[in-house]
Parts: sequence; C-alpha cells; structure tokens
Amino acid sequence: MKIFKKKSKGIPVFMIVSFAVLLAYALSLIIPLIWSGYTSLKDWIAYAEDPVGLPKKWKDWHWDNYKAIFKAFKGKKEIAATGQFVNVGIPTMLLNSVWYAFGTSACCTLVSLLVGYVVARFNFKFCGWIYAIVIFQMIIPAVGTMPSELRMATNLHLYNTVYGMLFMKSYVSGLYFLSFYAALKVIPKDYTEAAYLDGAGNFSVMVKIMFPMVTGVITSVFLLNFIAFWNDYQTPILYMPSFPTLSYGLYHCTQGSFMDNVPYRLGACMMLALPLLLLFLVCQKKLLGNVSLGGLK
Amino acid sequence: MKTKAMNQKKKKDLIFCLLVLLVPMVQFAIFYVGVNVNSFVMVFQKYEINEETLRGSYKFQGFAHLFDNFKWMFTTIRNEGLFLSALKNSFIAFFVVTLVGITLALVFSLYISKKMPGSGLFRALLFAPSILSAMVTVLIFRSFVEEVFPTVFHMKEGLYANLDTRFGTILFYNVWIGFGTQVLMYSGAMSGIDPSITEAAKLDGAKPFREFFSITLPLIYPTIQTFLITGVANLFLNQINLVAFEGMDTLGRFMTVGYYLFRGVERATKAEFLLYATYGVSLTLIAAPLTLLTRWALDKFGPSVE
Repeated sequence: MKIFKKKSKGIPVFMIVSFAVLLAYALSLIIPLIWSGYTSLKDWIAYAEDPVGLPKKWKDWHWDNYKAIFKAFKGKKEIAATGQFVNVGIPTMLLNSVWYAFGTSACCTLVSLLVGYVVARFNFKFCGWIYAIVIFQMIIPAVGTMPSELRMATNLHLYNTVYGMLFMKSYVSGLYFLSFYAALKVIPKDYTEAAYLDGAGNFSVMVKIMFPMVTGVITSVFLLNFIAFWNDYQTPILYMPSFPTLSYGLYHCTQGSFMDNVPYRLGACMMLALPLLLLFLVCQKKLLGNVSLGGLK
Repeated sequence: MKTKAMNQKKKKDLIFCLLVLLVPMVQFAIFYVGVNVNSFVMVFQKYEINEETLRGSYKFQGFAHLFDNFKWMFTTIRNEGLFLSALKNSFIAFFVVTLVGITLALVFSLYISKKMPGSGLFRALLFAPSILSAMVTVLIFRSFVEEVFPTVFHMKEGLYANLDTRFGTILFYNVWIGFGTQVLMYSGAMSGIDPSITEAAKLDGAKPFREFFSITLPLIYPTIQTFLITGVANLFLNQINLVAFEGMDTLGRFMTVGYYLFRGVERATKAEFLLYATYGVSLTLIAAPLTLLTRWALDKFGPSVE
C-alpha cells in the first residue's frame, strides 16, 4: 500500500481506478458462477418465483436435479452427419472427452516441442526455413479451409476416427512452438557437449537432458492445450460426430427443450466446469507461470 | 580424422532431425499444404453425380466455366444478403474485441506487474474464464443477463432477448471473457523488464506515464504486435462465440464471416463445399495481404526501444 501513500499524482490515481475496475471485473466473474451453482439446485417453480435468491430451506436444495441431468443425457441419438445412432450418455461422453483432450493435447504438445527442439538446437539450413514456415503459417490466415479439410480427411479415411483425429491434431502450434524455441534456445551448449563426450546419443540428450530442463514449459503448454481441447465442441461437431464429447453434448442439449429449464441448464454447465475449475486450482502455478511470448520477427 | 568424425556426427544429427520431424512434416504436408492446395483446386471444380452408379465426384470445371464458382459466390452474396452484414460485423467485432481487449489487458497487466494489492489473485481470476468451455461461460452469462438483470434492475426485457441490444451484449461478452491469456503474456513480459532501466529513468526524472510510454510499452511491444497481427489474421475466422450463443440459427444481422462459413460448411452438401471453398480462397486473398500490411505498419510506426 506504500505506493498509494507515497505518491499523490499520476500512477496512484491510475492504480486506484485500475484496482476498482479489476475488483468490479473479478466480482462480475465470481457472482454469476456462484449464482449458477445454487440456482442449479433450485426447483423450477421456486426459481420462477425468485430467480435471484438462495433456496430458503434445506429441502429446497434439489440435489436430484443432477440425477435428472444425467438421465436427460442418456440414450442413443442420431448423428445427422453420419446417419448413425450413437450412445450419448454422460459416461460415454466423459470417456470421449478424456481421450480427445488427453490424446490431442499430448500430440500437439509433443509435435510443437520436437520441432522447437530441432530448430533451437541444430544448425542445419532447413531449421531456419522451418522457423519461417511456422511463423508464416501463424500469421497468414487460411480462411474457410474446412470443406477441403473434411474432404481430405474423408479421402484418407481419417474422418470420424480416433487415430485420424490424433493425427490431425499433431500439428505445430505457432504460439507454443515459439515458447519451446525460446526456452530451449537459451540453455547453454555446455550441458549437451558434456553428454556427447560421454557417448550419449542425440535421442538420450534430448530426452534425458534437454526435456527435463524445460519440464515447466512442457507442463504449462500441455495443460493449456488440454483445456482448449476439453472445451472444444466445434471439432467434434465437424470431424468426429460419432464420438460426442461433454462439450458437444452440452451444445446438443442447448438445441433442445431440456435447456429451457434454467436450473437444469446451469447444472449441466456446472458439471462441465467443475473438473476444470479443480484442475485450475491444483495446477494454477504451472498454468500461470511458465509460458511467455516474444515477437514475430 | 577430425573432419571425418565431424562429418559422421553431422550425418547422425541430420538423420536424427529428419526422424524427429517425420510426423510433423507428413501432417504439415497433408493438413496444411495439401488442404490449402485442395481448397484452391476446389474453386475450379464442379460436383457431378454419375447417373449409372449414382455416385458423386469432383471434376474440373473446364476452361469455359473456370470462374463459375465465383459467379455462384457473388450470386449467393447478392441474393442471400447475409454475407455483407457478416463482413461488417466481423470488422466491428475486430475493432471492439481486439482493440478494447488489448487496451484493457495492458492496463490490468501494468497493475499486476507492479505487484499492487491483490495482483496475484487478480492474475489468477483474469485467467480463470479461459479455462472454461465457451459453451459453459456463454450459457452462464446468457442466463445471468436474461434472468438476473431484469429482476434486479426492473427491466422489461433482458439485454439478450432485446434484439436491439443483443449484438452489443454478445460483443461485451467477448471482451469480458477474452483477455485472460493476453494479461498473462503482457504481465509476464512487463515483469521481465530489467528494473535498472526503469530505475535509471526515474532518476532522470521520468514520470510514471512517461515511463510507461517510453520504456514499458516499447519493451513489450513485440508481444502486443503478436496479438494485433494474429487478431487481424483471425478477422474472418472469428465467430465471436455465436455458435454457443445462438446455435446454427442466428439471425442474419448478428452473423460474422467466421460464423457464416462454419454454419455453411456444417450444413453444406458435397456440391456446396465448392461454394464455401471459393469463399475461403477469396477471403484468404484479402486477409493475407491485410495481415502483412498490418505487420509492416506495426514495424514501421510502432514505438522504438531506442
């Protein structure tokens, strides 16, 4: 608080205003989340009478709303894109979400890491080209490639398959490539030279010496990718309609009358949000501490 | 002997690099080069169904009909009347979401990097929405705006239900939810500034605002530049979360180009894929030079570290 007392012009006013805005912003995030939490436990009629207040008595907290949400997701539904009937119960969707988020984030993180490693640590001419291509790919937008991508995936039998999706997501993410590149580039060569002199091969040096030195960045990128893929509902809609994930299921439900019931709607949101909020609480430092970004030169 | 050993080491390194790069190269060849080339080829193709086998296939249009898909695109734009409003909305969304987002993110990052009261908590809170699915945050935001606001503020109609305020509400959501990652990156870059530089400036009598504009801003400019460039690059891809808000049936007046294309492809027949590929190639031809121009302008007119 010293700075508020010490100085009276310029920054302090700015800091006080910023503090007020940040506080208002933080409250605007927290209040709707708390409201959703307790509203998801309200009876529909009690909710209609008072959409804002807390349930008054213990018996007014309807934990069985969550049972109803589980039931609403159960059963087989037709997937329009394929004409197939697919089990879209919560356990199946959870399983799909888990493999999709784990698998694709592992592939995307690993590929970005490997390419970042080669470009940062070797002096071949093509390393410079790869750097340029990744930056080019990052800043030159390819708009509306979905029809072509769908066609390619179908022709190569990658459409609507697990291995196809994993391969499609094994791409170099420009942002994360830059993070890995920056982290690996600054490690002094002495570390690897000593290992090479002791007879270690390239693979051992990469896996046993270099990667452990950037574990923090790898974990952060993996977690950021995991969150992004866990929340992704558009890819499953287009590319793997037979493997609905929880996000896709929630999207699917918003299209039906089930979601007109606000407590149920918010309950479904809480079910999807809670695992990630827990993950965030546990891994907060990893997520917030290790990724930095330079410019596009 | 030494040269021979070096050559052998170089050869081993090369083989190792190629093996490591194998999967990314194949993936890139298929899903970047292949997809973009195929997208371009589709612009000059037609879809025909064989009457005997009843199977469809894509064929070259022929030179006489080379630009038929472009004609189809312009006829659709004229008759359907959705695309131009989507284009306008995309630009509005870019200016509001990207520019307002960057400005607010810079202000918040400065606060956090100066380690002012509660900065650690704010940093975590600002990033928290980024971890939740857009489906979840949109549904919660929409329910809150629709259900709580009218009750608390005695409004006749919710901000989202009212068609006149709906687009503004959606834009507000995108700004409100969108700057977590930016704050993380900017505050990280600001914390990385050598304190001796700012101390020296203070000793020279630089006021806090001068310090921000002459030292902090130029030193973190590459990070800001990256977000601005990717913002322009995503101009025609940004869906402003309309799928989560509206599903696939939004009113034309709220669409952006990104949403228009996504919705189109999701519903398209095999023949209509060609129309959307043509939209894609045409928009890339606009967006690519625009992005490069932005990059050039930001390089030329941006603040200098010197």
